[in-house]
Amino acid sequence: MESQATNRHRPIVRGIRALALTLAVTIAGTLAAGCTQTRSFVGGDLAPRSGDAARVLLMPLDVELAEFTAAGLVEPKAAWTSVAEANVDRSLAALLHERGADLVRYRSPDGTGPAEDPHAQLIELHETVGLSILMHQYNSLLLLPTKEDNFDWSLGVEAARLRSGCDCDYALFVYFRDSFSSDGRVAMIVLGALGGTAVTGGIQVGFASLVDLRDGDIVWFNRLTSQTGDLRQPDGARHAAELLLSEFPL
Amino acid sequence: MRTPRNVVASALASLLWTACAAGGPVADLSPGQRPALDTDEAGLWMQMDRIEADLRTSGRVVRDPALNAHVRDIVCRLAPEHCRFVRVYVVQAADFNASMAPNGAMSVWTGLLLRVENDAQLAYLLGHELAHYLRRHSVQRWRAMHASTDAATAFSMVTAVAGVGLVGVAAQLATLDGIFAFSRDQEREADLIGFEMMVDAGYDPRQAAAVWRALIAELEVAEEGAQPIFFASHPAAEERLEALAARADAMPAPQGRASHDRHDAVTEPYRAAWLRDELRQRDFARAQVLLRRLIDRGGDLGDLYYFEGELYRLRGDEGDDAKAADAYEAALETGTAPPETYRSLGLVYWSVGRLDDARLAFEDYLRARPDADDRLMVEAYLQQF
Amino acid sequence: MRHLPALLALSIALAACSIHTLVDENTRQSIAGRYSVDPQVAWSRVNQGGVELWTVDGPALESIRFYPGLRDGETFMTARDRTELPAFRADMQASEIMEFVVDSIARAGAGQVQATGLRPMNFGPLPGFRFELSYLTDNGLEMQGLVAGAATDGELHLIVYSGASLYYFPKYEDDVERIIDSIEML
Repeated sequence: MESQATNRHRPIVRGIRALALTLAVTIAGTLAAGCTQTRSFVGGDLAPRSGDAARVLLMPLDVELAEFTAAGLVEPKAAWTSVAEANVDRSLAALLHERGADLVRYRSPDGTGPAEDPHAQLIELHETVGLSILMHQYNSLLLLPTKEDNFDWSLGVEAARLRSGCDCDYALFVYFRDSFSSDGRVAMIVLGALGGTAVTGGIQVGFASLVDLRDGDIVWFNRLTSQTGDLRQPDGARHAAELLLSEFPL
Repeated sequence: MRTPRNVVASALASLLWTACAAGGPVADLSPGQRPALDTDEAGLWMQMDRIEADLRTSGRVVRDPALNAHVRDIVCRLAPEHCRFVRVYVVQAADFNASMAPNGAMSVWTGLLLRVENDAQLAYLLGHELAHYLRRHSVQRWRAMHASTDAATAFSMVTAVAGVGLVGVAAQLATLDGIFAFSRDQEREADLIGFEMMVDAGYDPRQAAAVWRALIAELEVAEEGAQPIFFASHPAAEERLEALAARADAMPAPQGRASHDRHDAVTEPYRAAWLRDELRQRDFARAQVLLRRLIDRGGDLGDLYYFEGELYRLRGDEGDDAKAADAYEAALETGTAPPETYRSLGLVYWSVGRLDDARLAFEDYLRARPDADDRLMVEAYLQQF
Repeated sequence: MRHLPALLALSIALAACSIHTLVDENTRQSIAGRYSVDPQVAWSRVNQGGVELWTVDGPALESIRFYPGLRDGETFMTARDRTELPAFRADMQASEIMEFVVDSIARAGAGQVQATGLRPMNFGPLPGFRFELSYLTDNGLEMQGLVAGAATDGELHLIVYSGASLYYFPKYEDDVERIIDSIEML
């Protein structure tokens, strides 16, 4: 929640335009020359494996593909998204298997919908923590002196509740946005991105975090940005998942 | 910006797109129909599914079974073959608003339920929303925008989407009208279909125009620029009122039923909380018109006079303390005023320097609410007199 | 992480005018020259339009905000829509100040805002009040808060500590209690 002691509120649209400009500059900076970047953090102590293989709970994937149209509209693509989701899921399962870990897919407890899921608050907290990490660890303008030398983000011991029913050691959260554009209207694209429709035009953005379910600590976090790649293709998804899991501690 | 690696897919997508764009008018949604996965409409549904999931976990949805059954039953009476595929969400939020997402998620704000006077008025408004869904207005609008070369349209569209991310879940579904910016023609069509639905279901046709009449009275006094969200892209209320009144007049007498009973009974337990939400908007002139209308309709006057007092106390203009005190006293005379009336009365007496009266009021408050959560504070007040 | 782009952009915009600096846990800190406190732990601080904000893990997770001397007519938060925000009035009693805070937070987009336990409590040497808060963020995350304040000479001093109910609010709750206990007017 934003707070400010002021008598007048700012017009929201003007605010958004200013934000879009800043975001555009930032993206232009990080994505110069069509590169692919990953940047990961490691924190806390890794839990000793409960058995031979670590059991990793894969939380519901958050994947969305979109197309930027000539008119500058962001068009979410259901068919692409559905294919990409399956590709990413398959790739993650294979990669974890190769690393000797077992993947267990998250299922909300029987008979509960999303609203009644007893884990909803934990998932919500993870989202907020993840956003805070992105803001304060990756953005040099927003670094927190209290976080400078220690990557000690956590969901707290309540995270252990996610273990119920699967006896998992870790939970893995994965987020992907992949978008395709045949048009160079960056300003429009960035504006669309602000709406949560897609992160930017013609690039792929991914985040992943690994939560130690004993104590809730986020033991690994990675961000991927790329101007190449295509989650709609099995190979593309496999490549993206490999990049996203680079420096994965398991 | 890159071009998609898979040129075939891209070409296919644009072919599909052309087919859609050239398709002209779309057929009505048949019951349970879902768009094919490779269409633009499916993309819209996917987006809405996500927003709907957010809404469900946002804590803004009122889950009371009686309230939900009330709204849902009317939806089912209006469109029995579709009601199985429509999800109704009662969203706790001030102001008059309702929205319909292309995927069948309907949200109805509590501020609308507070203002609606009977089942027939609600039926007309729900019918209007259902019409957007059945006529697939969202995808029509989306395609029109696609075809448009008007950059300004695209820009406002995108900023509307951007706004959604910032205003949060509660407003997301409701901002749909803004996102898809139904055209005036679509609104007129929805009015017409909503009206026909309510009449066919046996509701009093005159109630459709009554909705707008009451709302116009509020708008005439509203803060400048405080046009309800509902009107952002809608034809003017006056125009709709006239069109609907003319239609109702053209109907043969006798008119249908306008049962007050169920709507009042179901919303009564929430009225105080919803009025509190309205006062938080700090649009006092509008709230005053609304309160006056509720008082004229009857109902629990203890509550309503209490809120009238709260309105004056919060507004704090010249002479408002005295008006507030009068309203609180009127509330207490009914015998049904909430105990907090005494506390508020104590505060306004204190403010105007009637310290003895303030003391008595605070003492009355602690007597009426022996387990008051703020007892220690009120006892501290009493020590100052 | 659906709200990520918007939040990221927002963070960038906020950063443009505000860099976080370290609050040394061993040095008494002046709050806008009005009073001083003992910070207990190391915080990252930033000043947002006259409001002093301290956080360890980022304001979305927990923060302590010092409002030093809100004056008649001033508001607690920025608005998200067109109509008027609740404003502080110099003649408000504690009950009305609590109502002002609750209404402001609700107007800023929080859901199910509840305030409980309003009681008298000194703010340094000033007669003041305390109460507790609970609310939901836009996304439905459960938050908790505690508020200490005092109105004096037509000015309102407020300290608002809030954080996610899970893990983050409890993490510094005791420290914040000690910070409030350590207030000395300057």
